[in-house]
Amino acid sequence: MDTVLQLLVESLFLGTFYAFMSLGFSLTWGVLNIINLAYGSYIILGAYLAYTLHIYLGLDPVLSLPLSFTGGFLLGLFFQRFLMNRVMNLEPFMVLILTFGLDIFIANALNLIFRADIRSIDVPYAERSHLLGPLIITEVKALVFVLSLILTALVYLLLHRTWTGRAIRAVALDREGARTVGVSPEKIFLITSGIGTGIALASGNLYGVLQGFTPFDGGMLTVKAFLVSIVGGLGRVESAVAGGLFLGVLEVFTGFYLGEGWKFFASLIVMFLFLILRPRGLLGGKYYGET
Amino acid sequence: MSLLVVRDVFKSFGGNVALKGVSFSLGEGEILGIVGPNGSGKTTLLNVLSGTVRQDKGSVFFGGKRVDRLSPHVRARMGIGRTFQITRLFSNLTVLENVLVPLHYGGPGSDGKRAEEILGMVGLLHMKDVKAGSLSLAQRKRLELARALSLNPRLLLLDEVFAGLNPVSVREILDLLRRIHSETGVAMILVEHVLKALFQITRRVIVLSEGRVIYEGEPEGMANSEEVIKAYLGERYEAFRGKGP
Repeated sequence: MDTVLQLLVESLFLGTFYAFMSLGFSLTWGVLNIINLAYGSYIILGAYLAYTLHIYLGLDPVLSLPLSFTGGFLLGLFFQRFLMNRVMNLEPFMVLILTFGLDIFIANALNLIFRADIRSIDVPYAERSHLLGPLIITEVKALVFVLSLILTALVYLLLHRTWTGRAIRAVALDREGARTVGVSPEKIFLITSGIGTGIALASGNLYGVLQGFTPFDGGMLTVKAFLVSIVGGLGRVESAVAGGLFLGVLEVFTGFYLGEGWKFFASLIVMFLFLILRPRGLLGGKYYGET
Repeated sequence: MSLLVVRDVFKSFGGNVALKGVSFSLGEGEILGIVGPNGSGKTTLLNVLSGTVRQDKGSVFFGGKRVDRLSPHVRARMGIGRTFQITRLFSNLTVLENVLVPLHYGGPGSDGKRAEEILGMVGLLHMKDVKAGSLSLAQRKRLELARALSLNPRLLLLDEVFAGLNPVSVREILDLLRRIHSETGVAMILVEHVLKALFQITRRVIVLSEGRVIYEGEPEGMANSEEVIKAYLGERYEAFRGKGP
C-alpha cells in the first residue's frame, strides 16, 4: 500500500512537470497548427543554457528560469518571423521537414559546443530528501512539481484573464473572424510562438535539474510532448494537465513494475491506442478555443 | 464629405465575374440597403469593403483615406465593423470575452465597464458569462452586432442580419438597429433579402444584378424599374407584360 502511495506521489510530481513541459508544444499546435518536431531540442537547449549559467555564473536553475523563458521567447519570435511564416501556409509536410531539420541543427550545434557526454546541473539540494509519514519526498522533485504547477497556472491565467490570451484563443478558433474585429493573426502567431518556445526553454531548466541530459535527448522529449497532446487532447491547458498526469502515472508504474526499459515502449503503445480508439484525447478539443 | 466612396470596383473569381464596375458613395451616419437576386455580388461587395476579399480593379476610400489595399484588421481598427451572414463568433469564448477582444481597439474607455454597456445595449448583459457557442440564432446576431460595435465603428457592414429570424426577432433587431443608429450615429450598409424589414430602416437602396448597379434611389422606385423587375423575375415576365390586357 505504501509503495503504491509512493508511486502515486512520484507520478503526480513527474506528471505535473510533463504537463508544463508540453504546454508550449500543444499551444503552437493548437493555435498555429504547427507540429514542432524541434520542440524537444528547445527543451534541451534550455537545459544547456541553465547548465552554462550555473557553471559560469553560479546561477541556480530556478533563478535562471526567467532568463530561459525570455531567451526562448525571443528565439520563438525569430523562428516564427524568419522560418515558420515562410512555410506555415504551405502543406503541413513542409512544416514537419523544416522543424525536423531545425531539430537536427540544434542537437548538432549543442554537440559541437558541449560534446556528447551526459551533463547534469549539480544543485546543492540535488540529493536531499525528507520523510513524510510513510513517504519519501525528494527535494528536487518536489521543487520541480511546485514550480511546474505555478507556471502552468500562470499560462492558464495568461490565456483566460488577459487580452492577449483571449486574442490567442480567438485566433485559434477563427483567424479571419479575428481579423474582422481588429486582431492581426500574424502578430498573435508571433506572440504564441514566443510563449511556446519560452515554455520549452524554461521547462529545460527544470528538466536539467531532474536528470542528466545529452544534446540528443530532444527527440524523445518531442515524442513525450506529442503523447501528452494526443492523450490529453489539444483543447486547453486542462488537456495538457490530464495528458501529463497520465504519462506520469504510466511511466512511474511501468518503470517500477516492469523495469525502466519498458517505460518508453509502454507510452508509445498507449499513444497508438489513443490515436486509434480516441483520437480526440481524454478531454477532447481540437484547438485552443474549442471544447 | 462622404464617409465611404467606392469607385469602379471589379472582382472576378476565376472566369466568374462577381463585380463589374460598382460605384457608389455613403454619407456620414447614412443607412444604405443593398439588395439583389442570389449571386448578384452583394456579399462580395461587402467583403471588398471589409477587406476579406481584394478587388481586381477600382478603389475604396473611407474617411478620406484610400483603404482598398489595407488588411481587414487595419480597416477594423479604423472603424469598419461587420457581421456575417452565417455568424462567426468565437464560440468557446464567453459572451463578454467576445466583446472584450475588439474593445481593445475601440479607443479610450475600452474596459470591462464599456463591454457591459454594449452588452446591455444589445440585451445580452444577463448572459455575459455564457459560452457564445450555446446562444440561439437571434442572440448570436445580437452578439455579432455588439462585437462590431465594440470597435467604436463609423461604419457597420451587416450581411443579412435578418435572415433566418422569426417575425418577432426581426422586429427586435430592427428596433435595436434604430437605437444603435440614434445613439451612436454610425453609418450602416445592410445587405438584405428581407426587403420588408429593410425598407423600414432605410430610405436609399442600391440594387445589384450580375455585378452591376441597376438601380439606386428610394425603395418605392424599385417596383417601377424595368431593370429591377427583369433582374428578379427574368425575361419571360417581360414578355408576359407585353402581351397583357
